[in-house]
Amino acid sequence: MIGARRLALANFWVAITAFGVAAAMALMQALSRADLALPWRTPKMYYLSVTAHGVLMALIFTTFFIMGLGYVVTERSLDRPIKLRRVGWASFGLALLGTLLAAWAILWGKATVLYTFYPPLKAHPAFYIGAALLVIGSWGWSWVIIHTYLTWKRENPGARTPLPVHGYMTTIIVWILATIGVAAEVVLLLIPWSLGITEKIDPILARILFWWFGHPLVYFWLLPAYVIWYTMTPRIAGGKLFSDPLARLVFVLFILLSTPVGFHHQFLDPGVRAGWKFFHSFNTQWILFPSFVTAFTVIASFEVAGRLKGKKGWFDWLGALPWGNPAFSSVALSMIIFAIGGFGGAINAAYGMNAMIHNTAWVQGHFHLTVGTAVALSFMGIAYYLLPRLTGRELELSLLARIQPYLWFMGMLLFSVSNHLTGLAGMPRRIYQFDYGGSEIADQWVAGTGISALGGVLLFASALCFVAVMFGTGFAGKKAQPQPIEFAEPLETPNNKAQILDKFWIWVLIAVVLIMAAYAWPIGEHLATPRFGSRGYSPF
Amino acid sequence: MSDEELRGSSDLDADIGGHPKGTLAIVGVYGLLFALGWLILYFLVFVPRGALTQ
Repeated sequence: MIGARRLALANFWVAITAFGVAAAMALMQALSRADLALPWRTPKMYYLSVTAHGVLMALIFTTFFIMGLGYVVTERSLDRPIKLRRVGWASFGLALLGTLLAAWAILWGKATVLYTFYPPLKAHPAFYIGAALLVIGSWGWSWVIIHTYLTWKRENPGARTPLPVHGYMTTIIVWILATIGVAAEVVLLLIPWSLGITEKIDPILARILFWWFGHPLVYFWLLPAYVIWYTMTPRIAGGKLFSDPLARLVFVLFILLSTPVGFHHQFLDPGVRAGWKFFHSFNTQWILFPSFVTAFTVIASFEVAGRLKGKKGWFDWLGALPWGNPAFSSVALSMIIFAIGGFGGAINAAYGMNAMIHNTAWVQGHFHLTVGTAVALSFMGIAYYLLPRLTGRELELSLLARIQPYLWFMGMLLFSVSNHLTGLAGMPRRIYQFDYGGSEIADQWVAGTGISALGGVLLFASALCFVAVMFGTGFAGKKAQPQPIEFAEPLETPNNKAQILDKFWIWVLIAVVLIMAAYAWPIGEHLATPRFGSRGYSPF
Repeated sequence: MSDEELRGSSDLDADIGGHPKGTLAIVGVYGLLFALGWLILYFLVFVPRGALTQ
């Protein structure tokens, strides 16, 4: 039994609740974008729901789920209790308070600033203070995990860091390096501005600091999914991890390359020289490499599982995998979707080609493949595995659990492929009126928005299934003896191979140098230019 | 759904000969499709539209 079980569950329940609310907001947007005349459809409602969906799904669901999973993975793989559990509870309380503040501001229409909260769109101070508390809470959680790990290191001198914890330490390092940017933006710029202490704000500086955080945020979401893919799913499939050192190499590469990449979100922004944008574009293309390695290693681990069941052919092992087990099918389907998302990401990061799709529907199509499926569906899959083990209850509504990943997969294909195509045809993202004031070019988008809405309906049905299974299991599941949480063994024990990959301080040092190289000069250059600032605007 | 089904099982004494030829084939085909898709977008969409010049 996990000692930090209640702490992990508290985080999971906040995540699942946020997911349910965000999913309802998503259905409204999908139907609204297809111009379906919903009775409550107004621009104000549309943009409120876009903000709520983005913040609750991308920031609240993910962060709380990652924190809950972190407690489970750390305690189980280090085989020792979590240290500083009171700090863990205090951090959870802070993060929850921040969530409630931000959610209040959004749902009461006082923070319609979208998930990127770019100024000069201005929100109620409660939104920014809530976001700050969420980040501070996550730093507290980070310290609990780091402290537990360092205690284990002292107790086990010379022992190899277990791979799941190696992945989680990487996650925490990426998160801390990333949140320096957003902390500076929120504390130094947004909170004083929203409280009226400063009259004007520098939108370009705010955007630079946001994307210092905003892209590595993607890897804060993705790395725990990789921990699941590398260390849990191969075991669930009945196999072994193909290569432990390759997995460690992937995690380390993310420490180096996650942060000095943010300008690829700002290719069309003024205020940053082309050379710096090209440098960030170059770094972003490199980050495709660890994801390719991950695709190879995890599929190879699944192939081990199929071969262990006696399959000898090129592809017959695929049929031997447990496709009826939602803990497996969720991850396998999320990997297929991620493969498509990787292709789109290479277009986004290409300096010239980005202009084809910048701020179009392609972008929302892309990140629903990556965070919306590779991450979210993996989290849902592992929730099916973990919840019975943490609650001591059997998984309820198992038929819904089995079909849910496939519904998500189908819905996401319809939603995202149609958004990629309408984006290429020029349809902007984040618009309320898809006819774009009667523009002729908008006629090309009609079929796509209809298909996208159908995808949205399937996704909503899938989300309902997930939430029903979770609450059904957690509160009405039949009591059962909890089973152990197990990790995949590697095909070959790593022993002393590539021990340098466990020396995090070396990688942190190099990462800091890269971040300084990527940001110090362009920020300095921007601060040295005349800056006039902007007043705040609240359209609703 | 039984816990054994969720956890999966493994028979680690079984033969895994031929591994990882299937994975190499899948990843190889993906790599080809990836490159092909990128080139299609580059030559059929990006080049005809032209790059932004300012």
